[in-house]
Amino acid sequence: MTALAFEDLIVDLGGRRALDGVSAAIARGGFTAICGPNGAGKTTLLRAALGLVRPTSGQARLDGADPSSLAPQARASRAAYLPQERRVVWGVPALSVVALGALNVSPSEAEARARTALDQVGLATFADRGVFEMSGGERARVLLARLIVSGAPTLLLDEPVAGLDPDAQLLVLDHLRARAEAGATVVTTLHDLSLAGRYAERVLVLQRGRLASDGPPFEALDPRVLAEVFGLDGGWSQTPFGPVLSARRLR
Amino acid sequence: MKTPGLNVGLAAGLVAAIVAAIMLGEVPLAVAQYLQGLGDPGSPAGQILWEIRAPRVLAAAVVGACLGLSGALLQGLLRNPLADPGVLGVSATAALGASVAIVAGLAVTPGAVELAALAGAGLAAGALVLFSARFQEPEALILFGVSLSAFAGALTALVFNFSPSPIATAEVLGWMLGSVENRAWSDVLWGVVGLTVATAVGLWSRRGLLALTLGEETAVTLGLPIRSLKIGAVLAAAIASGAAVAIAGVVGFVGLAAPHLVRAAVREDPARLLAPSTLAGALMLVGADLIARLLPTDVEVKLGVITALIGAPLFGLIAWRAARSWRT
Repeated sequence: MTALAFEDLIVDLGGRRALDGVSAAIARGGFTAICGPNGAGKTTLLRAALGLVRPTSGQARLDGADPSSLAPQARASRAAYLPQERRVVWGVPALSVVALGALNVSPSEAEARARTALDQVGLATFADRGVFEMSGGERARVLLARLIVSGAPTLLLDEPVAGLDPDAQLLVLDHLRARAEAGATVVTTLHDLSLAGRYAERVLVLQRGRLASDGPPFEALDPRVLAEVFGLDGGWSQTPFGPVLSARRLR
Repeated sequence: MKTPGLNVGLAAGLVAAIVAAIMLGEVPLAVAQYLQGLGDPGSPAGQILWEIRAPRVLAAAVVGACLGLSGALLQGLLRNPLADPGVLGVSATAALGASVAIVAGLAVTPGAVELAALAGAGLAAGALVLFSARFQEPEALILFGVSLSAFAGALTALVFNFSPSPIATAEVLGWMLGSVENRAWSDVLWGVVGLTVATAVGLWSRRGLLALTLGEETAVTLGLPIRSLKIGAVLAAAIASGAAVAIAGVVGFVGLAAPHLVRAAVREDPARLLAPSTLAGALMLVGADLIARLLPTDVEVKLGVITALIGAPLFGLIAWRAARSWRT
């Protein structure tokens, strides 16, 4: 059973072709990274999976259904989404933000789940702290906790580690991988190709709205793809801590 | 402070302010007269207390509550601490409706000006609901509201332009400065109906306000019918501010300042802000009207002037304190 499917998906945004005939199926469970240069269509692919953008042609499927035809609660029970935009407008306590992820249960149950999720991201003592009183990294972890409490089987994340320090990046990705190993479908965009190689079981590489490669990390991000898509002369090497991509600019 | 405690405190303060405002007035009454007036509404003291002061004070409370609720809804919905009922153009279109009615000579017909104001507010609400259903961005709604407000303002100026008499012009101007002078129980009843409807719709839509804190797109994916909730919030804000303008004319600053007075106490939660902001708005306007009544001036200072004179420096102080907290 596929969690996400894209069939010859074309999306035009503001007169620009953001996705140009993408076809891919992502099975339930596992950690998939979507990589590509800026403007390649990574965010649009995630948004299409949630029905947040309407396809020009082709289709996106979430658990076999057209996501734009799903009722809000039905869609939320299938997939949770962490957009790249991490702005929180008001300085509400972290607990309130996290509990928003569990709107389908009673407030007391949502609060209990939110406390557990904050503990899981290392912020157990931050429950009552306003989000404006937190660092960017702490706020990112609060938003990740909001994703966790949803209990949705599919987690879609847009650059969840952008702007985080190395420790916070690994904490977030370790947690996501643990969720994937527990059966969740984790699909995240990542600019850091080394992290993609280290955490993902499968990498989709997008270039100018098209699927340039798709497969296990070292195949999807082989030297040819690195050169043609990213303009990099590079290759992978193994270290005791995982694979690392070394590269230099070609142009 | 926990929200229930805050609400109880504000409600107690409001009751005390209402009682004080009914007891105090231009005509001093002895204790015996108060006792007679409270027991016998038909007595001279009773008429002062029950026919003049009580409906006026309660009208101020209801108008303030409407403005406080409307301000809290709009600031949460638009995610903008500067939003108030004037931003969406509802006040301006209601004022236009009332101005047309006054200049057309309908002021002598009981309820005609109020109904005209409500009709103006209803037109604005309809336009805003249609617009918010089509466009998602809060900035788009703000810009549309500003445009609506400017257009209604221009039409009101046109009404002034073609006003048949200086008396009608002065009447429109007086109405636009805001007042609850000589309001009757029927005005209070109108306000209570408007406030009740707006509160019911506002309470239903409040779930969306906290979700919108995380941005439109996240809110949509949380499982809430965000589009319907947003339309509900726009409608509730328009009903509340329309009812306020219909009863008291244009009263500024309460809708802007009331949410700010209590925001820190509810930890900035836009959903929990609704009730205390409603109560704070009522408290502010009862106090402002009492000041207007007690000031020893030959001509009573208009309510809208008092709220702006007190509200502007107060709001400046709040902004100054907020700016200091942003710097740290």
